[in-house]
Amino acid sequence: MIDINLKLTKKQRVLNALAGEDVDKPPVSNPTNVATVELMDYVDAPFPDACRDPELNAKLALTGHTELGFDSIAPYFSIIQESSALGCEMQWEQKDNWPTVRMGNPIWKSVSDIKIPSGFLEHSDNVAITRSINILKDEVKDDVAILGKTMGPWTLAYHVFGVEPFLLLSIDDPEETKKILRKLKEITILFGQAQIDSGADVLVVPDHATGDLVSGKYYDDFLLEIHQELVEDLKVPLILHICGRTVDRMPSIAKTGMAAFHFDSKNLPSEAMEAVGEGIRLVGNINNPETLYSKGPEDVRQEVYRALDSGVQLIAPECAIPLKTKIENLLAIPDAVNEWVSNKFQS
Amino acid sequence: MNIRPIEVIEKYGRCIELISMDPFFNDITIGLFFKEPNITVFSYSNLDGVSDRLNQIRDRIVDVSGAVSIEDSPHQATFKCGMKEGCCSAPLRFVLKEAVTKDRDLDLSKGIVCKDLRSDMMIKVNYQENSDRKIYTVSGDDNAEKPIIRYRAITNGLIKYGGFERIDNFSFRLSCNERNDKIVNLLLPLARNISATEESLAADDAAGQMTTQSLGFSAN
Repeated sequence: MIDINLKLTKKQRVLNALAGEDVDKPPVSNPTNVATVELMDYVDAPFPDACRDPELNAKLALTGHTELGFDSIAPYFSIIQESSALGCEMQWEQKDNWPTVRMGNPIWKSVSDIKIPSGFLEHSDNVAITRSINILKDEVKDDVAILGKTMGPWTLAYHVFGVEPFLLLSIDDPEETKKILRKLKEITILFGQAQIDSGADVLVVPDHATGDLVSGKYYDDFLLEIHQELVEDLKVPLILHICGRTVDRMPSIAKTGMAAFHFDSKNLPSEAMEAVGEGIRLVGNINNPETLYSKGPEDVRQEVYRALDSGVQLIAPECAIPLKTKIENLLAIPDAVNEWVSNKFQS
Repeated sequence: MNIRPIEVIEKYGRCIELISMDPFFNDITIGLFFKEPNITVFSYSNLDGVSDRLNQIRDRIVDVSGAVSIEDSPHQATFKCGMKEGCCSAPLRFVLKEAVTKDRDLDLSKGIVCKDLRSDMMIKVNYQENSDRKIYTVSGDDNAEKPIIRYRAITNGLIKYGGFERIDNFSFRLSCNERNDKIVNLLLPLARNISATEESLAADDAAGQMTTQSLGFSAN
């Protein structure tokens, strides 16, 4: 429910929305990156250094709150920090592109290979995130929600085993696949807990069982139970992120006990709301490649309105935004939320 | 600290194009903003020498596109028409890319000419005034099997990338009915191979996008 008479901090707004409690307005809360190449220049914190240096990371992440006016800060920009710490071959790219794991050269072949290296949490690419969260917590105290991020076991499996070998294994040997996911879940918990200890208020769990590659039944068979266990193990609100068309697995996702599901614009907000029912909150859905990247503020406003009119509880881009997104389109998101609330409740 | 993003937008208008990394100046990001009647070259970078580099880019924009520099405003320019309702803004994507990432003179001494990529023809674009209309016409040396098909395709490309008004299958004019040989000359090499230009634009757009494809989490 929206009660415009409530006086909430940004953090309270986000936490209330994730808990299904009343808010003064729907929060603009990005589970994934909103940094752009222009913001990198603005604070002199370019990629890839801003992914690897905690001070630069914090400076860049903070702009989501200070310059864009979002209600949360998400300092883990990419999806590769743990995989780097595990020893995956990395391609760090440059300022205007995403660092990636070279999945063509996987580091492991079977469940017996899975070993968390000693000093995993002390690896500089993990410290970049945990230390950044420390810095951000000192900076914003309890005013703004800090969203950490820890990769789910399915995504980690893609990185360490390679996409194709892992998917083939899931067909050839489902039991071995489940053992792998259970072992990798330990990494999810380890890095997630480290971020909670550093001050993260919420954790995002990307686990790319995407509609492009696996069916909704795969989600039930391999991931639902593990995701439910993550809720037990990590004692902050969790936001599950899966890209692509996922409406077929949303009813299952709604049973995870996670606080919210970060969903893609390939799913209509109305059908997504219907699919999850009261089971989980929804966040996201503002289209990246066509709307935020290519169109203008008026188009952004219309998409925000569509999500709000459908009942989506937290507003955000659907995934990490393109690094060349124009800032005016990002500023249009909180503006549109304010305008929607004003039109609906103050007229 | 630099001027804040919200103030930049208020002051200079909407960002119509970004070059994410300037190869000639510390990989800074260059934005081209538009607020009628001016375009402004801007960067959020605070590095020493940024202002001089922005001035250099503005001057390159003037050189390659026929824009007019704004006196006492070293990062701004406009077009003769005053850019009413965005007139002459369609080709600015190509103008900024040329001005920032290339370091070459555009030679007009032999007129607006360029070698065709699909035939042995030399393509030329002639300017003429007809009554009050300032018209450009695409032609060539006819050294191809069906030259008219190429002239028509190149005319279509120029209209597409320049936002020009079509007169007929081989002729067009600027929406503001001004003469601007430089902008036509800049676009002619792009218009002669639309598929390659479209691929290049798509590659530019794909850079920095996080998708299941770019992450390798897709069957495509």
